[in-house]
Amino acid sequence: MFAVAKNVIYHLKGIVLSYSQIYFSNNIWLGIALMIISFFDPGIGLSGIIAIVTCQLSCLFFNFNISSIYDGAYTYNALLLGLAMGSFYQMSLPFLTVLVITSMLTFFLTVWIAGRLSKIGLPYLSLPFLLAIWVILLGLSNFTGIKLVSKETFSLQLWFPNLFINVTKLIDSTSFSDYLHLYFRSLSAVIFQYNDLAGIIIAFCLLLRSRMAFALSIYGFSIGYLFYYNFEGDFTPLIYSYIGFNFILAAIALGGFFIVPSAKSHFLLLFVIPVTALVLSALHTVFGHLHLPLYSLPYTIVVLLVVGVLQIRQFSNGLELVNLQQYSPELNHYKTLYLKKRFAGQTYFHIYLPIIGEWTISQGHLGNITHKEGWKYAWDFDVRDEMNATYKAPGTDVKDYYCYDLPVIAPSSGYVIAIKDGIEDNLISDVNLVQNWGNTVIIKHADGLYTKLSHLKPDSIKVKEGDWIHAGEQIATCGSSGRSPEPHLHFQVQANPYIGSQTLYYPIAYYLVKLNNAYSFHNFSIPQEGQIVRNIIPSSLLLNAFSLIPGRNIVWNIIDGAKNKENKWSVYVDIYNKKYLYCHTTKSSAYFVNDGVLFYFTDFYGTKKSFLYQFYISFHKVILGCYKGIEINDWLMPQVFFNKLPMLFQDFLAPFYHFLDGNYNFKFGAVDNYMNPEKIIFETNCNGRVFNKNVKKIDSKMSIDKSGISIVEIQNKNKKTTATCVY
Amino acid sequence: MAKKIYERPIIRPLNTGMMNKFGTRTEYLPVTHIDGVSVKSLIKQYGSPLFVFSERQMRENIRFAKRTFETRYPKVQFAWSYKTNYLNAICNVYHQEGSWAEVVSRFEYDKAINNGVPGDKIIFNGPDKTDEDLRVAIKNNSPIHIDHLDELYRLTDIATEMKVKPRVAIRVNMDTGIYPMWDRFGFNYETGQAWDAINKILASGKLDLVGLHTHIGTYMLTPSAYGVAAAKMADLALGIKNKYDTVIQYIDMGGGFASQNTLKGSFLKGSDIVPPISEYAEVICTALLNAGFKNTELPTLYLETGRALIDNAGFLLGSVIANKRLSDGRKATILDFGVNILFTSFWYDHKISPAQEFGMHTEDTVLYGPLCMNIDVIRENISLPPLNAGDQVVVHHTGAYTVTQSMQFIALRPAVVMIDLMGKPHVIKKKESLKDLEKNEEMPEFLKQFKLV
Repeated sequence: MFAVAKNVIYHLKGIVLSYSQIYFSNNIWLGIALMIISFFDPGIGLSGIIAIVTCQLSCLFFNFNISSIYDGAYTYNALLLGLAMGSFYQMSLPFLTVLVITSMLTFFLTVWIAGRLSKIGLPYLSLPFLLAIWVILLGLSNFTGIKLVSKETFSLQLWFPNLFINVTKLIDSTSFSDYLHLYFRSLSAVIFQYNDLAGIIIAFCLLLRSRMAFALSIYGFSIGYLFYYNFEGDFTPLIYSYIGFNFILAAIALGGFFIVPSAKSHFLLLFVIPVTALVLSALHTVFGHLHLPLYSLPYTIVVLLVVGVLQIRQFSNGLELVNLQQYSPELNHYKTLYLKKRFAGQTYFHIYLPIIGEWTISQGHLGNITHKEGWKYAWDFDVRDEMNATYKAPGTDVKDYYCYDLPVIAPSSGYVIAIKDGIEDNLISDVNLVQNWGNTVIIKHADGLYTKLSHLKPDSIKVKEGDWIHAGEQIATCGSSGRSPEPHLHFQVQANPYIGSQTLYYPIAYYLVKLNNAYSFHNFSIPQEGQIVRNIIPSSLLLNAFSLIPGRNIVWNIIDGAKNKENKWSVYVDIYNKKYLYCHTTKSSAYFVNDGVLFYFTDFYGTKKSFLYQFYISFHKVILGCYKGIEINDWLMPQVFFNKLPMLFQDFLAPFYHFLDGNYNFKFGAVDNYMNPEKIIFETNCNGRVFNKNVKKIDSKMSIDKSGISIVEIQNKNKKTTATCVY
Repeated sequence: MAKKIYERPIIRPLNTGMMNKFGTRTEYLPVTHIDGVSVKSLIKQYGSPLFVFSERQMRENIRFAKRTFETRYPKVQFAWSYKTNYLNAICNVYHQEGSWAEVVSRFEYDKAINNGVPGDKIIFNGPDKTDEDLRVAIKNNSPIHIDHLDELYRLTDIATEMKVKPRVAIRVNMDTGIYPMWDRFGFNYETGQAWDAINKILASGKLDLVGLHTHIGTYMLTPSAYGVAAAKMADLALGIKNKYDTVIQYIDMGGGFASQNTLKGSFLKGSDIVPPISEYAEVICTALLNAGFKNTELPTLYLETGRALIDNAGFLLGSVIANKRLSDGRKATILDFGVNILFTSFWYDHKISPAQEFGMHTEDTVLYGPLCMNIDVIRENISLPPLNAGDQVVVHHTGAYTVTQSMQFIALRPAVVMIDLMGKPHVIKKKESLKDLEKNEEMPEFLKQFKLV
């Protein structure tokens, strides 16, 4: 019984979302508003719903992926068809027969076209609807038995004529009445309404739903309008069926839906909208002879063209395609920007330093000794004392050098694929230019990703070709063979498996730099010449506390102001192999990554009132190695700190300028001892910023002991939340 | 041209040794300055004899040792061995360099606390810990290294009574192939005593076994013995993980690294045979890295190195009181410091340099201390240039065990000076006075009055 009720709710949601899909949204309220507007003419509204339901039943009957009707993706084309037919014909039995059949046809077209186009990464937009409606218009004329009665006027207009006339009069009284009429009617024409009232309501709903989409609709329409106006275009097709909505849809689609909203995406529209106008005009000429309406064909062609072309660029700068569709230009913008800020430099495969303890980069990238031209992305390491000397007096023998014979470890896991051994260490200052790399080990981490360690001590190599070695495993010791006037370690990443291959620019995943006896944390960057660097060794206490293994449950006892509540979390994995914390109490999820050095959250879905959300913000990024004085910084989205009103202004401006943002800082507080900690407290500060000035603050603290996370304290404005991990 | 040095004539037999184009010379150069401060000015200002420590050398030593270990093993922690030298200023140099404290008695423990070392960074070793000592250590969360079963039982009782789980380690002794084998401290590995103690600790559940400790000997000239010891310790730690699923946080390899002093009876000089710290580091780190620990469960390596970190940073300055000729014709020189303050001369042939320029001739000499005791011999035989009364000498490698083992037998203890990094001397311990000596004495009433006739 419960399951049936749940299914019905999903289907009802699917119906509503079909409406919002038309305007590139997945918002239920927008869907409901559009549905109500479609009932301005009950015939249109009803046939729209019949078309959707037919689609949904087809999906169930033919066993298609049901999740695609829950979000309206498989049904919005049928909805368009229903609305179109409802606007042409009176309700009758032949009409219903045709409607049901063609709705099923639209569904099949949708599934087929979606399947084909998704393989090349393109959307199907309203192609299925266009094909289906043309089939009806061309095909029905031969069936004289099917008598469809064309509609003259529009029902609500008949019943409340004053309402519509007054709205039209109101617009007439403004100085841009032509423009406004065309804008509002075009906006409503998307759902076959063609009147000012519907247009105004839709524009208002669009504004509520998305400032960026609203701004883009005006921006895009204005460009198209001005293009027609200035170049004395023939306005007939624009006025006849108000297909000026092609400018609006193209603007929303390319300005903020398929492309991340930005100054460049707005710039792009200056080119795209005139092209749409030309395509529209050209198609109008052709389709006019066939007596077929164009509807959304021009915008569909232009969007497919632009998205398809942008996909085949080698890199993008400021004009990014949306990777994970958020169904909102705002979310597309903020999330992409925030993910880019956070993870742009990240590499999928992590390479660490091939050393134990603190070493100095004696020659970095583009060094002036040997790291030049094709070999410029390499590092040399040695060990120095406080006086910056690499050796203990007299320094005439390799053994006097601090780094000589020190262990060299695997920078990451992989197969040993090439070894060169048996080359003697040089006398100090001498170089072996014949076997210039000296004793060398090459490790294959992945196809096209190799690391090479050179100048090793002869006979010190502890691995064999073909061995699988783990990150951190010792492979040899540091020597002075090859072109090495004094003992040092040469380390490079390369794309080919050969000794002598050129270097590849590849950052080191995580490391610490020591300066003035203090460490600083670096991620995915290039260690610089002269820096003293070391790897980060995770602390077992922190590893244990953040080892969130799927299936693990955490129960919190939360004191939130004066209230006391209990939340239960579980760790789950989704179908894309991403781990997330799920709060059973608030039904929220927070996606996280634990890569052994960092624990960080990537995304959140659910209610912002939940403790999980507070936790997600307050412990956005945590380092698992315990070193005195290190800090990590991160970014937070402005929505975390600012409510709807300031965000309203920011949304309009966001593609061009951000005056609101948020940042995050992590540092260790009291740690009982950094070597074998048994009690760690760390502190984080989150700041909401206006014009780079901190105005909002969330200060948090987490205590960790042997049993894991023990207490969490979050101070947000005057509200203090204290949570104790029960188990 | 400088005035030529006058030296009294000496008579020495010709011996047929290896030909040497430089002739027979003394092995030493004069040492007139320590860290840029002249020996004469030091003696003039602080008196003779005088202990001098070089802050620069101490820091250099600990940094070198740390670097040597930390570039071979990811988790290393040094703990300053208080018994080696527990002058507070000395300890604080090492604490500033990140060393914890390793103590073997209550008063050393209290010293460490007073020096500002947090309780959980004081390793409490030694066979003699009273109930009270244990209580204090438990309260401060200090790791307690258990030496014998009786201590284990007492500690278990105290822990039960205090309702806390103290952090403990056991000291393990073992055969590492060297002689003498130290088996008087801790529990033996080969006979299963160590496992017996481990089983008792983990079965009782009253104590938190966090570490394993060994200290295989002192002045160890064979680094490979440490490799054997580290492997056996790792074996225990892995065994504990397997049997009880308890991860051992640290393995304490103790101390015992040799300094460059020459042991009595050694054919070669210490500086020629003592292995560098890197050789100890190499075998210990290799043994631990290859033992098979999981990457995330690698134990921290604790080191309680004392001697090797300070011996060469300490100097004893003294003056010649007199010269005399013994009945067998040997030359003897009486110095103003004796075995009471240079206790280590019982087992070392300390290197001693004159503190002033000298000529090319040397003479075999016996060096005596100032005590009116027959045992007061600093060197039975040393080849030195002729020294005159009032001349100064510098004894090298006197940083370890000298100050802590010195006593006021016959002569009072001298001042101790530390030369800082800028070359400025600081008194870190004042010269002992009669008042200091009699401070704790008490006179019964009936002995206060007497008349000597």
